[in-house]
Amino acid sequence: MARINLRTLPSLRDYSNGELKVLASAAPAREYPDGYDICEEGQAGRGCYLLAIGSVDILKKTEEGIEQKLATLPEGAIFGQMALVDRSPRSATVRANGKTVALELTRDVFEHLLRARSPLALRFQEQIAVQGVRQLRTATEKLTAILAERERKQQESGDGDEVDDSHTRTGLLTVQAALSEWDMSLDDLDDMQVSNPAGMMSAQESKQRSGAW
Amino acid sequence: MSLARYIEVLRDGRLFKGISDEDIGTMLKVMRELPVKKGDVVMAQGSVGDTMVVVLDGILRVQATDKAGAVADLGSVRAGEVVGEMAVLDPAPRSASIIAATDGLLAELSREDLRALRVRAPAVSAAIVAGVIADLTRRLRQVNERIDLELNPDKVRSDQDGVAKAKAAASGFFSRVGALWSRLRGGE
Repeated sequence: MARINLRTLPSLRDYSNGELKVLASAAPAREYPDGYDICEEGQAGRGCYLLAIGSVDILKKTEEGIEQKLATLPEGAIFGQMALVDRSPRSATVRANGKTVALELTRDVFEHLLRARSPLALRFQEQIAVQGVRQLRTATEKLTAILAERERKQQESGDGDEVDDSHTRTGLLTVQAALSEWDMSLDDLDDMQVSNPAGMMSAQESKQRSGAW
Repeated sequence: MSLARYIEVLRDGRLFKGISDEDIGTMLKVMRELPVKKGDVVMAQGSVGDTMVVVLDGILRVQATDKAGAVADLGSVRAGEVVGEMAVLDPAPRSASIIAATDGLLAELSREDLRALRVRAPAVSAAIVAGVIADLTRRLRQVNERIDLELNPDKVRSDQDGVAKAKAAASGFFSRVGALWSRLRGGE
């Protein structure tokens, strides 16, 4: 397996060498082949992942059961944090996009470290809280905008007419995925609402998330 | 009232269950006492703050004003309970105003204080962060349910009871936050 240097990941830049050492032993790295489902929508989650090498796609099923790709997370992203704080099933599928290496921190190990008041776990706990709070704020704002836009379109089209709301639905699915995957950027959602479905993903995919988690 | 009595009040609240008296005492020493008179505005909606308060005595009222100026009563905060804790982790405009419904005594904790507690009483800072996370997951679920309703109203309609519940839970929260966002955007 390729050598991982945690020090170079932006999401870990505030960590001390000691904390990175604890992280490396608490969260073993694993290599995933292209197309492997690291998390599966609807399945119980047992932990969260730090993307050390490669990228992953976030996918979600529509009500018709069709899988839709909603975003791509870049190297350094954290995903699956909800499994550390909540026991609800995975709300999206996370698939390896090419050969990928991720560190897995299970809920059991995290809770153990937290009980022991490990500085790493306390820092991690606080970071996921901050990240979640920010994502909730952004997601709520986007949701408000999407629903207002839909209402406006419905009013424009008049009563009784069917409105094509596939963009709205994709937008809603994206917000829903982002509510659980907090490293998923929603910056491109506004563009998405006006672009065609085929071109919808490119802007989002190219967007690189930076900064702390 | 004495420190021992305040410790008891806090231990009965949701956030500090299972925290030792010693740790709660350390927290209270770090915090500032804040006596309030009925009608005092403790936090003003829209203003950016980085503090939370715990209620040691008295009752606070939570209320939000929407763009049209309509005031909604969002509930109350009683002795032993906490309000504003998200801002301690990530300062942002307050989503509602907090007003003293009675004379009372509060204790205030800032972002700086939380940093101090991380070293002096990690159990307390962990409990505060865990409280934020619990609140966060509850709200995430509500927004999620609201989106489910939007995506699939027919399916949910077959379960009338569930619909009513989900709608009440989701729209209550959502209309508050929605009103806030539109108000903030309008105010820019």
